[in-house]
Amino acid sequence: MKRLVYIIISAFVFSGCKKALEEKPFSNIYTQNFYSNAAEAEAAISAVYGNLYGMYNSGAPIFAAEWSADQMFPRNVVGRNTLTSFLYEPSYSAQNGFGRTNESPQEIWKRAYITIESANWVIDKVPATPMETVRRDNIVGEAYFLRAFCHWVLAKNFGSIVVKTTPTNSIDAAFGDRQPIDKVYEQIFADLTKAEQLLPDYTASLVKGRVTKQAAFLLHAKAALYNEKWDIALASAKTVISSNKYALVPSVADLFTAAKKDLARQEVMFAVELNNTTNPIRQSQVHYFCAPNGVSNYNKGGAGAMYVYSAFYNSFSNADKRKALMDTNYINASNVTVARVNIDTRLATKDLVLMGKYKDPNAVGAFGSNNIYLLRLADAFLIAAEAHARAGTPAIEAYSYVDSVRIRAGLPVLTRGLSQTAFIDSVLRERSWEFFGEGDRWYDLTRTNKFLTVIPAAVNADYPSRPVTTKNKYFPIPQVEINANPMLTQNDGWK
Amino acid sequence: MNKRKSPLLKKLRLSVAFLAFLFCTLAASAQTKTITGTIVDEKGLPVASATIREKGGQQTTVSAENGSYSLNVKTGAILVVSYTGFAEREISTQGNDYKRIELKNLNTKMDEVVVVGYGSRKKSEVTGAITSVKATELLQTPIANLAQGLQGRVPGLQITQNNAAPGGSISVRLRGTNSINGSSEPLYIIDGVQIQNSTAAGVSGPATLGNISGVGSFSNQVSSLSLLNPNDIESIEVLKDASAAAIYGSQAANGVIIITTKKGKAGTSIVNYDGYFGIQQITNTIPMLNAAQFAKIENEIYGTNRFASPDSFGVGTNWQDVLFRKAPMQSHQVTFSGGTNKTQALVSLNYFGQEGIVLKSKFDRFAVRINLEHTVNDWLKVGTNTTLSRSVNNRIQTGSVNNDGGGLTQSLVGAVLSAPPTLNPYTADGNIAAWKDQPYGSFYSELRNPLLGTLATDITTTNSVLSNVYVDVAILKGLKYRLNLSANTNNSLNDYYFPSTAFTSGEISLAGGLGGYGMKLNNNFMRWMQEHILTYDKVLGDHALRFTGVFSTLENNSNYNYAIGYGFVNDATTNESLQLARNFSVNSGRTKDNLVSYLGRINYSFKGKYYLDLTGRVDGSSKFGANNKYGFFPAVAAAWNVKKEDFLSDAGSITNLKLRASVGKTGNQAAVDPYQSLAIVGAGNDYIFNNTLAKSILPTGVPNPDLQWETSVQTDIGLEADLFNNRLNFVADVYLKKTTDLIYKKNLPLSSGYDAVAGNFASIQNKGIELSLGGDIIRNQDWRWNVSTNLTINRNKLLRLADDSTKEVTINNFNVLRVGQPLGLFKTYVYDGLFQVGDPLIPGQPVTKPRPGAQRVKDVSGDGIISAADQVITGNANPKFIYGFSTTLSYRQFDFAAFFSGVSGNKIFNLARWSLENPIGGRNVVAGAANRWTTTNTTGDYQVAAGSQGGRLPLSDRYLEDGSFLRCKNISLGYAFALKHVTRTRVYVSANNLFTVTKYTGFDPEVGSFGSSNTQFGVDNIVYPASRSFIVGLQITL
Repeated sequence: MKRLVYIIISAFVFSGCKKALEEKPFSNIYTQNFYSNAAEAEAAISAVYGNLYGMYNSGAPIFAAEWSADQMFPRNVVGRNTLTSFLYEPSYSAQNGFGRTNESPQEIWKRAYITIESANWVIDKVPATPMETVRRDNIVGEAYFLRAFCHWVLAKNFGSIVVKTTPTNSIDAAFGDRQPIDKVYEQIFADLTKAEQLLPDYTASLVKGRVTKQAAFLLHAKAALYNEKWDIALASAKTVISSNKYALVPSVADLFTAAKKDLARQEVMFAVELNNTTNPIRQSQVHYFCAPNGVSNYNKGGAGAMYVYSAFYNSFSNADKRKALMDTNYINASNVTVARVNIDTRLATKDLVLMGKYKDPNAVGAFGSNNIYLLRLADAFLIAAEAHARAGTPAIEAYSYVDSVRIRAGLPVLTRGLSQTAFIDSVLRERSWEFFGEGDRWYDLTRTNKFLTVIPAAVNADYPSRPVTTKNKYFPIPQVEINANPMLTQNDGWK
Repeated sequence: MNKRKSPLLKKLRLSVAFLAFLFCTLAASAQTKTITGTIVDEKGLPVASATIREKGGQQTTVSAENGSYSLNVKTGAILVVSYTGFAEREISTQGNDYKRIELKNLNTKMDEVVVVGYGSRKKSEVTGAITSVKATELLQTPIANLAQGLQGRVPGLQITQNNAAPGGSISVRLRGTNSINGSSEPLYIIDGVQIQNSTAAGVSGPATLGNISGVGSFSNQVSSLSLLNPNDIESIEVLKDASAAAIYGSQAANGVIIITTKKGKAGTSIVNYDGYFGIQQITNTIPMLNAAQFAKIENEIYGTNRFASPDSFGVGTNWQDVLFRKAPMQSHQVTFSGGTNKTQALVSLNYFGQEGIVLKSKFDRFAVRINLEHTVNDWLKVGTNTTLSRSVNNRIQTGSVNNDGGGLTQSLVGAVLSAPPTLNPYTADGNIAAWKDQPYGSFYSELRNPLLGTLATDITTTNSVLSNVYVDVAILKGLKYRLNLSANTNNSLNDYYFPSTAFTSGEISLAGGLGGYGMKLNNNFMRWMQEHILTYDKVLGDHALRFTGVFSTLENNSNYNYAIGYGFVNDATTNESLQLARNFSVNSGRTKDNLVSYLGRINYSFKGKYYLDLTGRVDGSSKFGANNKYGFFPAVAAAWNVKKEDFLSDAGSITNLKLRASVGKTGNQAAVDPYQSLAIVGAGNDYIFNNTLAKSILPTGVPNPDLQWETSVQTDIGLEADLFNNRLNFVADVYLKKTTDLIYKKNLPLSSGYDAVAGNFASIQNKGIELSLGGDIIRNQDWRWNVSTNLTINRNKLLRLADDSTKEVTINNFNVLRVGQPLGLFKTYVYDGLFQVGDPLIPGQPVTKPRPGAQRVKDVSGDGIISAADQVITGNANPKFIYGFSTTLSYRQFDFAAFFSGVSGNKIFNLARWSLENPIGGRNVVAGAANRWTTTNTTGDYQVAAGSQGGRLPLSDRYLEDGSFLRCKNISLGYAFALKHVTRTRVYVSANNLFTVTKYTGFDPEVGSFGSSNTQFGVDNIVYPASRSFIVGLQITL
């Protein structure tokens, strides 16, 4: 049977290459095989920071806070205006419908958890990675810090949130319930305590961009302030100050000069690192939005998408050097100064003020290189002052904290002898002058419930009415999240 | 400008030279006596394509449409006349018998041969729902892509040309949409080779480069079917029900389309030329405001006297006239075919060239086919079907998947529609005019002259090989073995360059580099397959049995790489010297997947009356999750030839009557992407430490070890009848197809760190009725008139989504998925006219500020505020029915054909009009806006023009339009004649896409901005517009 022999031979030849149906990815590797050496651990922690960058790349944490508060407002366009006019709903439909999801609180929710997930893998895997132990501890400490930071970002925006401390390694592991706010903060404090143990002290030779033990204490202080644990807040803030590892940059102008970002590192303890000369570029929409439309001394391609309320601008003393971080005109591409009334004719408001903290005349295209500051030493002083005063009538110690910040700004020391309430109000006002444009003010207003009285007064021709209500203390949990997770319930007032 | 014409002239010159060559060879061979005659059937009707051969000699020919033939033979030669389905006859040339040769029909129409999976069957034996389309029908209209030729021809098959760009994408849906996240495209098998028809494979270029210049938009994708030359096709079989398709198991849930190419025939030697040349033009433009009207509305929008005297601008520029052009298309095919008893061969060469009606767009294809079969001895046969093709596609950016007015900024066509008619496209010396340099142009410095977009180069060159080699071995009587080895490779290179001259100053900055943007993108795909096929036939008295067993393995390999450079010092080297760029990015990837299959089929018949088919296939795929590597796909079918029963033997009017029924299970493994079930890590956002980038790697998804194919269970009942001596043919099928385990990317809580996981979560159902009716109304010696028509009614219903509690999922801001409803559902506000002065202004109006003259939407929920609750289901994109109608009429040597197809009852969301009606400022709006609301024209039907910059109109059912249409796809008139030495010549003229009856207000109701998407269809976000063409064609058979 010659024919049969042929067939048998051919069947044999062609089935010889039969393989199991196992998949071997070429362009990726299995998660369980990763985190196996120092280089992989470094790439993994870099990805955690990278995810945080992802959150600030869109600018959502800045926009959600600034457009809601009383310092900055967006040009009145679809989606953006819902934050200022308090017309958003749990589905954030105006943003989602018009390609602005990444400017909405939904983006904060999403990006914070993406960051937490990558941190959870590092915390789960890297302790077993064979590598030099000090650096390994640092990496795990960085992951604890970043996880705590993201849980805090979530808590200040959404209130009671899902606390996620294990990696999502199966579909079942993807589902978790919301925790009461105190539980959330307990986890934040626990993570920060670990970070404080594992992270190194700041030195000028430390790799730029990495967080330090002091940054962990400052975040600890700030989270405790938000959670109204005044003693923890005060103790942690004092730890930062007394460590003397950081110092205020003498000139606020230098602090916000893009070209002097390394100089600013003596004060800036945690920032989103941006760079417009790397490939790919690391940049944020914040620079693009804050700059006037077109090419200017602000940016080589701004959008003119947000401005400072003139009332807030006017609240600064003329002696305050921080006032110069804003402008009422700009220089356009033809080197002509554009007057205030012509800053942006698309708006109804004519007394516009530009926010200059993200100004970068050396921008590459629309990409400014200023880092976005998340924690800096000035905050430690003002947290210490407030936390101190919360315990009772403020002592001279509390005044000295505030004064550190005021003196740097060119202001006289704070008037002595204030009542507790008056002192705290002074600190909050100082915070608003110090941290405007840095995505901070809204949370001072919500944690103190002042938003209900402050916001309705912060109006202008573009936003004549701002109907804020108690439910706006927290943003609604994104409806997609409620839909995807049957365990979740919506925030009060948003159901 | 000459540049455009010269390749065409070259082609024409080549064709002439080729024809001259043919005539020369002919003259050399003509020596003997020429006889002419006609071949007819028993009823005296002409038989076309019958083979007439000189017995023992070399001379051979085929009969023409009217049955005529002519042949040079030696005196006293014997003719052998044969034709499939007819008894072969030998005729002497001595007398006059050869002048009218009558062939006897061997059997009835029921015994045409139908190609089925892994074999062929007589039509009478087929138990499944299969529709055959012959080449003559397929090629009636000039087509670049075989799917275009199937449109309207096959009941159950809905074919949509998503955009009309040359080589543009087409979606094919057989018996409805069966998938949500996976592909719903059928499996294509050409001569036993599976072809790649996945737009998912490989990558597209960068998507964000600001306005117009982006690449990689869905609606601009090239259909991989356009790599195939349709002129080689002999017939197409569409396998619709589970019984017919189950032999393809996990690949068959969307149906199977089997393509058979032409083969050489023993004893013939034929040279055939088939070519046409035509001109295309746009069918329809969209009326926009003229310059004077535009100037006026701009003044109103900005509330200033931007334009001092609007009327002085007159008509201005009609931008559509600038962008659209009359464009040539042509096809030339030469086929050599023939063979001896031992070896048969066919070689064809084809050139197809189509310039697009939008400037610069163009598609060219060169294809070669070699089909060869050689009989080695009485038990061994080898053969190959091989085709090589090269296509060159010059794309132009005409599509957008951005719902928020992206149609205007990312599509050249949209940008042209909205371009200010007050501005000039060209400078006096013929260059593209920058707007800022023109009077009033500085208002539009943010925008660009859309013609700048035509400066971009975007050329994809694809080389494709489709080949199989087979060996047939007759082992014992009735037992046969076939080894089939096949391969399909597609290698493509995308050359992309966007010159610095095409950027506006603002965009240069967005691109991040002061200079051009160039890319080289390589996509390589290779599929190879081996099949071992055993068939065994046995007849035992009244019982006939056939067994088919197959073992096969298939491997897909895909890889891509691209390099992007931007910020060039000059545009001189375009993308051919990326190393000269300031900035770079590179990327590469590779995937592989394997399929291992075992399958068997038993065909049993009793007395030629009762048929029973059992099919089973086991497929194992590497793509499936660890817990579900193998799937089993069985089917059973039965048919009853009622006519063969005694009680119908006397019913003379019934030629054939067959009832068939089938039920079976098929799968869709294309819904799963390689590595989708695994936990893998991939690239993250690189981060800056010490002011330099550090690499980031992180987990990219949640593993799903349960991931598997989608499963469809389909039941089909069919009736086939041929009545009145085959003059009336009728086929009806009803089907119910339920697809479970549907791959659905279920939203995960974002708190997991991931937004979705793919799993077999959803379920969908399609049911429908298919009817086709055809008949010869007149058939006599001179006249033949044939009419055929088909109708498809399909109802699609989503049965389940991510889980039992999920009833509705939002796809975009006007499409939702809702359980109990079909896919393609539109959910919008309900339009409620314009606000009049004094009307209460309902708060929460979705996008524009409520004010007099603004669009108002209905407060459906009645709670006094406009909210998401006021968005309701306002329609869906599925047609109530689709239909086709064709007729052919011939009188002696003249032939006439007309072909219509249509859809009815579907809705289109005209997103383009939503953008173009919006008086947003700086952009032109539709001509209708001349009748806009003003304080003096309160009955106007269009939104007031006043300071709405940045605002959007509400997405309401005002933009939902009836998408029904009836289209005259083709009318053609031909004349065939014999010349000395030329067996048959036919010249014809045809008009394609001659007219369309529709109420739709966009360019064309056949539209799909989201390509082959299963959830977003019937959306018009401005695509490449349709064209009408007029063709002159020539067919010569030697």
